[in-house]
Amino acid sequence: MAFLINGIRRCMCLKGFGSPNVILAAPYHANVIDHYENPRNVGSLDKKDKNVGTGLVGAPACGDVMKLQIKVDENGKIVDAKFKTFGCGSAIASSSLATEWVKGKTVDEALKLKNTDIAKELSLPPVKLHCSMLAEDAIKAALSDYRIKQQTENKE
Amino acid sequence: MNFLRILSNNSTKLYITHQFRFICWSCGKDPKTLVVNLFCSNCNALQKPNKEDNYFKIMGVSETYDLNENDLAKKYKDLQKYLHPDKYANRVKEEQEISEKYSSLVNEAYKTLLEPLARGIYMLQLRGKDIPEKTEVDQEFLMKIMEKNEEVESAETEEEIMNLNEENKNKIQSLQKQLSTAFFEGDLKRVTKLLTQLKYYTSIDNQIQSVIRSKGIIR
Repeated sequence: MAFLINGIRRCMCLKGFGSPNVILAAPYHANVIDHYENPRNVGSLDKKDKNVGTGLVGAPACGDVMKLQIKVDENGKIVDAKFKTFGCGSAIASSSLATEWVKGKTVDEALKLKNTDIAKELSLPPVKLHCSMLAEDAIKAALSDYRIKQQTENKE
Repeated sequence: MNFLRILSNNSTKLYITHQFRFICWSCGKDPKTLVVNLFCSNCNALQKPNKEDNYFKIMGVSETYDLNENDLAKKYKDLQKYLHPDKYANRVKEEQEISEKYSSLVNEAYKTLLEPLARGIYMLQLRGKDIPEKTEVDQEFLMKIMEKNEEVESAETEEEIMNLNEENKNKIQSLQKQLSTAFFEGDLKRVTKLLTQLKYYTSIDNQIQSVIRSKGIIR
């Protein structure tokens, strides 16, 4: 897991272009560091499995990529979730937290997860809000991928 | 007066006509021309930077994506020779403050224009556009980026990482060439697309460089 060892990458966001010092000086909150140092659910699930939904998203402003996968059982409950994120500490922490939260939830419950909840839990500063947004979009993409798979499965 | 001698030595080639009507904050006169575009020709006081000038104007380089980095570096050193706050230790407070602000503005401009990605984004912003904030969903492209990141992560030998480094550097270079064309043609949609791609590849480059450092590879 080289991407975890090589030190927290600075997310060079373009939003604060005029005042880079503000971003660089912003320290990470303890919750972010906890998820960053002990990320939960890192890894991959079988993409081809019909019970697995995969969400792959990226942040053009940072160059971060995030893959988030969920595994759903026959009752529509999410039994497993994995992620792989190449990005800054906040993006890694957001996706780690997101996988923790969706586990045990139903597909419908998971859809209700908001980026603001993630941002609040991690105390993300305004310039890092898009990292939690990325995690929300990743979950939504994974859920939608799962649904499409199920629909085509049912049709056949 | 070493300072004045530098000015008079250079003044013949560096005199630039100031086009606007302009009052020197220090002596209250209109100097008509500014010595090396910085000083009042009447009282030699350092003038404030023109608020309307963009980074290219401040640095005195032509406004183009493929600017000559050596030329930019030379302009930067020249400017800081005149602007550095150390040179103003014995001047009035107002002039010291101007020098501090001006000098840090020049630092910022230099940093932005030197780096190809930052330069591109800045040029895009000058044209009233920005890199989109919304999430990228181009699956094929994201897959490619994810795979490259994974390759970098799992690279073990020096040869592997150096190959990835070369490959990625070539990719970045080719994107820069395309960017230059897109800027030249004024195709801002394409510029935006290329810049976001460049952002992802620059991110991979940062990964590669930190692996190279952590492996202690000396080039």
